[in-house]
Amino acid sequence: MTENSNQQWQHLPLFALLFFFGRALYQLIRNAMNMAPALAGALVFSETVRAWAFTLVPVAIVLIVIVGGALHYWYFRYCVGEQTIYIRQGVFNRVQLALEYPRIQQAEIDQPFYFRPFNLAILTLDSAGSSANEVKLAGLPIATATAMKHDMLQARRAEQNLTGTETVDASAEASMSSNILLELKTPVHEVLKFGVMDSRTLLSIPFIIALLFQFDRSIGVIQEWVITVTDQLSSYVVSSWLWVVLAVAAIALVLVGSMGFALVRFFGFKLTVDDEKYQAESGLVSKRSLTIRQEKLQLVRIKQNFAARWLNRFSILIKQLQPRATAGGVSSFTIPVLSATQRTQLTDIFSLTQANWQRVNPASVVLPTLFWLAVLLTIAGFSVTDTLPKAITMVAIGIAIPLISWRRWYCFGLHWDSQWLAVRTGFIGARQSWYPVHKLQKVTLSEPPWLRWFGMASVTVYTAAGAEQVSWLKKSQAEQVQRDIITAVSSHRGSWM
Amino acid sequence: MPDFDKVSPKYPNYLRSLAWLNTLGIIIALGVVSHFASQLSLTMAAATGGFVVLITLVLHFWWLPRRYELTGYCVDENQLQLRKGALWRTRQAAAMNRIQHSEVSQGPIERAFGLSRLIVYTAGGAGADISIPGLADSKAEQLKALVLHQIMTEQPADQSHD
Repeated sequence: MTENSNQQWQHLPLFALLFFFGRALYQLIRNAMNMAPALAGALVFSETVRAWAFTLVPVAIVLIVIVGGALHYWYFRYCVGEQTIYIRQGVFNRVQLALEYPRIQQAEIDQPFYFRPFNLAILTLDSAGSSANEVKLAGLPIATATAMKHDMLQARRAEQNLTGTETVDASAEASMSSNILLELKTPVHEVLKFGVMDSRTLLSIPFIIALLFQFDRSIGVIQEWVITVTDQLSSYVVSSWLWVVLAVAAIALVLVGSMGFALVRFFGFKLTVDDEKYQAESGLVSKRSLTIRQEKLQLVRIKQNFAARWLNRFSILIKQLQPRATAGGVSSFTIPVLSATQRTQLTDIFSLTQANWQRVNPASVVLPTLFWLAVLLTIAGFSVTDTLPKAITMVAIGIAIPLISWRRWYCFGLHWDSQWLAVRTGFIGARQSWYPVHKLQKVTLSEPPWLRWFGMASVTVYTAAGAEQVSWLKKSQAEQVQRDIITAVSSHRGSWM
Repeated sequence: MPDFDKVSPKYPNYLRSLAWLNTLGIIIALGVVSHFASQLSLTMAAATGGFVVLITLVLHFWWLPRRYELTGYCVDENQLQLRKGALWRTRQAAAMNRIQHSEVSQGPIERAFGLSRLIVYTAGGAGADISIPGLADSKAEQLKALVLHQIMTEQPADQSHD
């Protein structure tokens, strides 16, 4: 550290440990939520996992939260320089960054409930630089945090006055923004809908029903009790009804839990769009916010699964450049619940054009259909022994697989113009991924032998947010996609990073 | 459809040497294994070696000439394109103003033939670089300078923010 030899690296106050414990727990729950279907699967199918789940897992959770939180606290150091704040963080993945005050776009003070009695706060800094986005200084005395924020705003204002790029309204300290194009707030009853729409929840439901069947001994006990109480009913009716009641109760429980998580994450969701950036904030226990500057926008993904379709709602994921894998570094946010009108409002702001979806060649369904038919028919052939059920299963597979493949082909679409490249996939619901064309880095046209045989080709586009491949386009069409994109990118003269 | 420049005529010879060196390596390995391990008889080792030589002959006479014919690149003020592949054909394209940096790389066998490859990197993550093989050393340096020049002339317009 040569730039600030007169300054010392500091730890955050000891109270900040609370914040780090909380963050470790939050990340643990978040990761567990992401893996919920897999975990539920492991729980259902493995006796060992079940045995461990109730003994080792709670111990592991406590260890991860306490040790992980304490380590992150220990390795977090900061140092306040003249016009710069230096931060060092990370246990395994060490990150060191310097935020210059004039470059700090956003400085916000939060007081979560556990800091309030001690008059402490969290100072959240957001810089638009390419090397960092969001840093949280937790457990600072509120006076210190306010003073730091004041210094940062002064520095930014001085810089802006100097360059004359922007006039800052003195009252609009926190947002520092100008023209607000859209402000969208999601009320609680809409946030609850996200609990139903969350695809992780929907994926977990079949596993939870399967899990019920694993505990038939305890169910047997309940069943006997119910039978003795209602001995006038036949035991068959009781036991089948009991299953239905239990399954419904389990699903209801999962949905309530999922709604709880939706509330914790998205309570008070507010999206603000101005002519420079998109900003989202939400959270029940403590608020978190993320700002994405327009020139960093990398992907807009509009999602509607079958539950969302039934509720007539949409979700939108917005991703920015340079996804950072470090703890707490978030590169995307989700707008959880949008009505059709709100969706249109937003897509207008993004200027997503009216898509002219083009389908790929129908021959694309042949190979996957044959593959899945072969796999599933073989499994059915070996696992089902009785002749009649075997025949019924095979016929069902023989009808379902081609129908599913056809439907997926029918829903698939590619659209491109001089501004956006979009891919639509779906089965009952739909998912549209829109990439700004001028952010595309490379376009590859490939002709594997089987595509070349039919005069077809596939196109892969590479962006900083991942790659997207579209197969079974006519060769001329694929060439045109490549040509159009490269022409659009090379004629774009704006900033893109 | 842009006009593609062919790579150096020494490129097929480089590919052939590479193929035969690999074959030689496999045959030596087979010999060593059959000498020390009783599971692999000398007849089996010879049959496997013969099969590998047969494949290399196919590569030598059928695949490599096609690979050379189809490998080509095209650099202009707007874009860089690479075409390659005999069976599995690809055409990669990147706009000049998205290239982050470029490098010339050379392995020992390439050096023996006086060949280099030009690799240009974009910000697209894994798989998003373009590597032009089989360029004469001087050509590779010349192309690198050209790419660098194009990037430098792009830069002022591009750095308006940040």
